Amino acid sequence: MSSPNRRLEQWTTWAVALLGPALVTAALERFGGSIQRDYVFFYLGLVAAVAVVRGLWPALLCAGLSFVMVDYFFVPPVGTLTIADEQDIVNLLAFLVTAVVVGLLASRGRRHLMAAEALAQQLRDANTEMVRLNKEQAEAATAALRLARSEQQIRTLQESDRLRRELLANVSHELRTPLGTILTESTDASGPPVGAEAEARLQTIAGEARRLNALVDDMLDMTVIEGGALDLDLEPLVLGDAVRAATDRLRHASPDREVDWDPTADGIEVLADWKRVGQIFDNLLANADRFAPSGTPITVRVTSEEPGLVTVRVSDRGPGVPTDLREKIFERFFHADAADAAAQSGGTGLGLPIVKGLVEAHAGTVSVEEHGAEPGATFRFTLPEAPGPG
Amino acid sequence: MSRILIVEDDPALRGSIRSILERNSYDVRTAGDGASGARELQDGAFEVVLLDIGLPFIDGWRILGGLKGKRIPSVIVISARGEERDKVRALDLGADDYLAKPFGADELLARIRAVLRRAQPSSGPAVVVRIGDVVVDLANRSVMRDGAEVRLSPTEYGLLAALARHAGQVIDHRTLLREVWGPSHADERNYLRTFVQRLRSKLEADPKNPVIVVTAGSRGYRLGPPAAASAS
Repeated sequence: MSSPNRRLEQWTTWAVALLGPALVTAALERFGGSIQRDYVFFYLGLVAAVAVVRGLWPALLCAGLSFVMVDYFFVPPVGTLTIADEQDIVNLLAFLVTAVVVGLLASRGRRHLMAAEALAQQLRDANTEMVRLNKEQAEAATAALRLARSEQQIRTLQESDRLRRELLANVSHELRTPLGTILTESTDASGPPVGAEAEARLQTIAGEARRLNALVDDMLDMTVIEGGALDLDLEPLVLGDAVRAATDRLRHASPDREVDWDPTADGIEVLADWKRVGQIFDNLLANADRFAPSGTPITVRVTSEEPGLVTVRVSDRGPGVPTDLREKIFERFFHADAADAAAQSGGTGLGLPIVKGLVEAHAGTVSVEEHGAEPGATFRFTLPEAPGPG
Repeated sequence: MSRILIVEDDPALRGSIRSILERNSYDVRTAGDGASGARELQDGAFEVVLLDIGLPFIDGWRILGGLKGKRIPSVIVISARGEERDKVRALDLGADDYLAKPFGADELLARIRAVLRRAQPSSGPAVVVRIGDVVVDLANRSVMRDGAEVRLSPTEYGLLAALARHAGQVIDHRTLLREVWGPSHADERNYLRTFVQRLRSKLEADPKNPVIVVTAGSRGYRLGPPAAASAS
């Protein structure tokens, strides 16, 4: 309760204690007639009421005031505070004692009532608090349950990812051994001579075994890249060495393809993994070789466009990549046209996604660029520049 | 006729390799698990061992580790585990070459010829190269350090000899790899790194700060100080 309200209540308390006896007296004077003295119990009732509602001290004041009023207005000689009859002195004292006792009893009742009310309030508060605590506890339990479920889900996902990779590794391992037998048998030139047709068939078998193995390799690489488990062996490399090495490897598959490399870029060094950079070039050159008409060169150019990065462009004079497919070709097993499926020309459908994964593992980016007026495709990627003097 | 041991648990591949090698006039023994492979190695002298890694009873790693310090054959690990770190581990443990499955017959034969060639006495010029306290005698295939002979595997010697023939000059990675392991290995820089470490641990006073087998930036390796090696 606020302070102004409390003060108002105190004022009304004392006002009732003071004015109450006066009002009773006025009423008896007005309506009581000759039997006024028989109605002193009205005063006792007033004292009791004040004690119950307002407590002991206002009740005592009310009792004292009632005593004075009765003496002055109803005890002869009326209009004075003196008492003529000895019997009236006894009566008045009995009235006063009765009023005080009534006030004491009533106020005690009030105190008990108030204590009971306070207790009830405390109980209500405690109950409310308990309900609140229960609710919080329930919420905390729900949250803990939800967290436990999420953790369980994460563990399950991690476990399933691990199992997936393990399965793929095991399957790859199991695939390679029979592939090994197929390949050694189909490439054995020291065996008894076979006809030209059988020789061609053996070569086809060997080629398909090699392609199947390339697919296994690519699938494993893709799993490692997607699992974020790629282990890079970074060292300063002469980029030109990597391009020349990849060109040499391309020559095995495509002896007539020319790769045009600008020898003035020979001084450029990158910080990269030799094997993986080789793989990036192998895949981009193989992709270009697959789509470029025979007799046209593949161009590899290097520029320094951003600080700390080396930008490499591999361009061919093939049909190019339509604008709406420039993001999609980096998706797994994406083929621009089912009929042209990379399968036809020996690709695994994972070459470009692997390029993307490997370039990004080197903190670089890869994209297909506008090629200009001439037909063709340009793949642009970045690698970190080697630190220090190169 | 060179003796070759094939330790491979897959019967089809084992039989296939066996018949190819026999048709190419090699004396071939086979083992289908690690335990019998280890027994064969104890009993007979082989020039080349084709060793699979995933074997029953005793795996290829343990066989490879057990070969250290003995009079050892050239080891070509043949494994379906094509990962780079398996390759490095095999070379670290003393293998001379690592052939990932599947491989063609021609490739297998080329690798065998290459390791056998490295183990052959060379008919090169009689040149002795001295770098500090290390002496490489190219005619006698011997390497001395502080007057004591250093035992090198045929491939370790092959790499040292390739560097010694051009002592003081930088030889790039691909040239070294081609010369020692053959053209198919031109981009296997891990081979070079591993064997350079192996040479350093046997020849250098402080392998962490090499002065004999020196790294020449990102270009390649060089034996001794630039063009100041004494040749006699």
